[in-house]
Amino acid sequence: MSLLELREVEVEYTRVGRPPVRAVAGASLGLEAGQVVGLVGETGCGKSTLARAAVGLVAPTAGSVWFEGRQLRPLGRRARSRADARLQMVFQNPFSSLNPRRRVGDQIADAMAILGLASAARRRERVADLLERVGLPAAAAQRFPHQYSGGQRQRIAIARALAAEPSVLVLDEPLSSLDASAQAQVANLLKALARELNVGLLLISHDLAIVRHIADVVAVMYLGLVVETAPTRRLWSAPLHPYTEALIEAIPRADGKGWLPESLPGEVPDPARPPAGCRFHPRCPYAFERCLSESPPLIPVAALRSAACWLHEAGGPERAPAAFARRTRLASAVGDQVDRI
Amino acid sequence: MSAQPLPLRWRIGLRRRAGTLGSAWRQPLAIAGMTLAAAWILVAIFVPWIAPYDPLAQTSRLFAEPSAAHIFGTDELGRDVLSRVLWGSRLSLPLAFFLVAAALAVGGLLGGIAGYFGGWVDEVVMRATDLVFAFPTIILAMAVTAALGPSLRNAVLAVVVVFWPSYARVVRGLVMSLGQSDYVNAARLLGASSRRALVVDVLPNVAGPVLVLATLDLGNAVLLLAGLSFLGLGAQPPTPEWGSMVNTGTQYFQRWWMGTFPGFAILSAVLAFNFLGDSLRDALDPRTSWAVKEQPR
Amino acid sequence: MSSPLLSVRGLRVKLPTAAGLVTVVDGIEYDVAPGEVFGIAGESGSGKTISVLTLLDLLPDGAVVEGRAMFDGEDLLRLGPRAMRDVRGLRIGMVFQDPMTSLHPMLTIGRQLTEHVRFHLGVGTAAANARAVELLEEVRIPDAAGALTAYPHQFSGGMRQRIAIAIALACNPGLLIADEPTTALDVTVQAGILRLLDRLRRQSSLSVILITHDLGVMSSVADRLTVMYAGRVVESGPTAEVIGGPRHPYTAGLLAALPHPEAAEDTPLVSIRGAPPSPQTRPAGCSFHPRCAYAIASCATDVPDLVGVDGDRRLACPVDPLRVPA
Repeated sequence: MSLLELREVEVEYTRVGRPPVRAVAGASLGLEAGQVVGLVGETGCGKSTLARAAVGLVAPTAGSVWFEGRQLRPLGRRARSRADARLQMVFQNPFSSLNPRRRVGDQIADAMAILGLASAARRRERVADLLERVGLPAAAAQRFPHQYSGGQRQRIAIARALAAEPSVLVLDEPLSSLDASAQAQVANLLKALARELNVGLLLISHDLAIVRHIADVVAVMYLGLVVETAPTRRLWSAPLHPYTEALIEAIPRADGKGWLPESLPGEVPDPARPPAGCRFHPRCPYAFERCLSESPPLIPVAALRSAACWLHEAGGPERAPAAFARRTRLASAVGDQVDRI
Repeated sequence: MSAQPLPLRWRIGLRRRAGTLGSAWRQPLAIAGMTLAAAWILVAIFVPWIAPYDPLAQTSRLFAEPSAAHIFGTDELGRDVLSRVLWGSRLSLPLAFFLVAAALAVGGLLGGIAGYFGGWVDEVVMRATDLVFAFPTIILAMAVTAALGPSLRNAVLAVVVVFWPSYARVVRGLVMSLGQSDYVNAARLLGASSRRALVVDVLPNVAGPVLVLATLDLGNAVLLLAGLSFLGLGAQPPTPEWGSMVNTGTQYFQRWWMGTFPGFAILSAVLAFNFLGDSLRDALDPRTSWAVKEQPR
Repeated sequence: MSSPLLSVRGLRVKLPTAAGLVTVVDGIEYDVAPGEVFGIAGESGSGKTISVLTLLDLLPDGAVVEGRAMFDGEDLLRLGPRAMRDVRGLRIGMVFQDPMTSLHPMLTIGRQLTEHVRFHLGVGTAAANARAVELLEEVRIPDAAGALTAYPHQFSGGMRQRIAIAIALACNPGLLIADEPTTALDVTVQAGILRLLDRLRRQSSLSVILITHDLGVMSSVADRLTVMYAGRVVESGPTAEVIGGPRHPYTAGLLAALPHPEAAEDTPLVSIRGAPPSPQTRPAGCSFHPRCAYAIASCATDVPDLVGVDGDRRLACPVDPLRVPA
């Protein structure tokens, strides 16, 4: 069993006077020690909600989250157990994830104080160590968050999470609010941390290109479901799911060749009213009859690779969607409607 | 200050150069406010030695115009207006502080409980605040005082009744929103109990805005108390309370000094507290506090 | 270039701050040809946005502007407010970064589209509405007629940006300025907008000034580009050449910092050490020298001139460390 495992997790939000929204509709993921799993998807796919469920901030309405072999208890009135505190999170917005009124050093030392990981005397030393590890001077402990830039605050947030000596770190879009140089620096830091500390990282991001550089395994989400997981290199060289393929083709390449990226027709549907059958079928160039009525489960297609697509079968073969594409009337009809502008 | 993208204030439409000019402006105001407030506090403490006359002593020099002997003149019973104004600070100021502190304590506690527990507790507290808000402030205060009997003590009670809901609302709102903020979530994830998160992370961020509100309310408290006394519901004669002095002053309009000077006292005290509140807000926010040294990075 | 549509020379912009005037744009020049997509690349603090806001006189009070911006025979920087009003919307259109806030939330789409048309071209309601529907169809908004009576909040970010483009193009301007038009959008949505921009300019000889920090976007859609750093141009030329073979250390650094999809994925991301300076703290001499691996002594004192090298390329680096020997 993996260090962190999500099994068919569903998270449903009720709304006043309107139908409930299933932000996450049955997602499954696994994470091992020292491994970096990148969870990618576009706006509305539910990845942030999944991250919060993975860490216990939100209780799943169905399915379960397992951490270090035990079922994770979501955060409630009672204080979190010490064991569960080995599962930590770094939030997206570095400006609101640090208390503006407390010094940086105090916030980093929180975990040590609460969990009793270091005596008051030792804490200063530990804080200085952690700051150094994330690339900040020890003097930072005396300052306040607002005196730092976004990239630096994100490092402080990472230091704070590391102070709890976690075995798993969930990071919700940690790089999105940062500019290019800060992104590169923090990305390299995360990769190094995973290797050196043997911490498992679950990295949520909409930026497929950056995830490619940091993650060992990538999971792709669409409209509340994980539609493909694969080791990074394989995902890029041979995506199995049509959505993954579209996502990769939509990334503009800085190669000076002037090729326009491919666009995906249509829009992400409202999560409150997902399409029947496969959630991706209205936009899929390879859709056929079965896709209209049945939602494909996430099945293992090859070693370490799964895909949720009727084009594939359990056990392979591992082929690109185009190789399978059956040109039925449905597929070509969808293709004609495509106005790939 | 930091390597942030070019500040939005460069953008079209943002004519106000907030923050930079703003804090430069504020300094003289802050100093003025603090000086004035300090002056009044000193007066209130040292009045037995400063006031030239006994505020209750009636003389035969009725309605004397301001002169060397009586700088603010005398009132309808020959009492020295200056002394009465100075002694009035001993009533208005401590009372205002007490009022606001009481309203803050009651309102803050109820609001905090409502925000923290939510559910029916929240509903009950909110309906209670709604009840108070349904009435115009002064009318309600008048009603409470009249019902309890016109006296200074009852006027104070009335003002507390009328003021606590604002604090309840503010504290409840802050506790609820801050309770959802990422840094509180982070603390909870680290194993902090709800109580610890409340005390260490939420309250300091609540205390700031609430304290500022309270300081600004000091001015309102002085005004409301003065208003009640003006209407005859608060301090009763012969107590030298600013509001009742203004009340008497309106009856003797020709003798402008009887109402004007107490009026100015109210004005200057309220202004002082307002300026003080503004600078307190700046001081409490580490971002604008001059106590936090800016270091080059 | 034969008769450029827009020709900017010696543009210098100083903005007021509490500490006095700060030079945000420090002498830039470029030409935009009719029918081309011209890119301005740079990170935050480079002055790229201010440089285009200057063209449309959208700066805060107290800004000091020097230089010339010849557009269709007139100097934009010398036009009075009335004349400027006739330029904005009619001859130059603009699209901003955040689609969530660039449309008026309380007015219908139809109203926002026709406003321009009626103001500048003086046409009647029916004609304006017909044009609005036409525009929405051009930008591929489904159910264009129905969209006229809808409000911005009913559309997604990508749709709103398409509408913003439609509004900007309502009066058939010769030049469209797009400031980071796709930065806030998902990658598949961005691809759609980029293809839209490309199609629009091909079918109507529209020129586009595209501002973005994303070199991938630049590479896909811009014909020529100029790279700005700390208020100055450091390199410019045809996109294929500049991105394929950058000669300024900053441009090379930017490209190296990109997670290149073709590179082996275990290589760490290379970033240029340090951070771009804010306008108040720009170094003397070449602004990039503190972060430059190739800096020599004179880089700290001499401001490099933008000189022509190899055909249409220009470079502001006397050291020229990355030149490929002939």
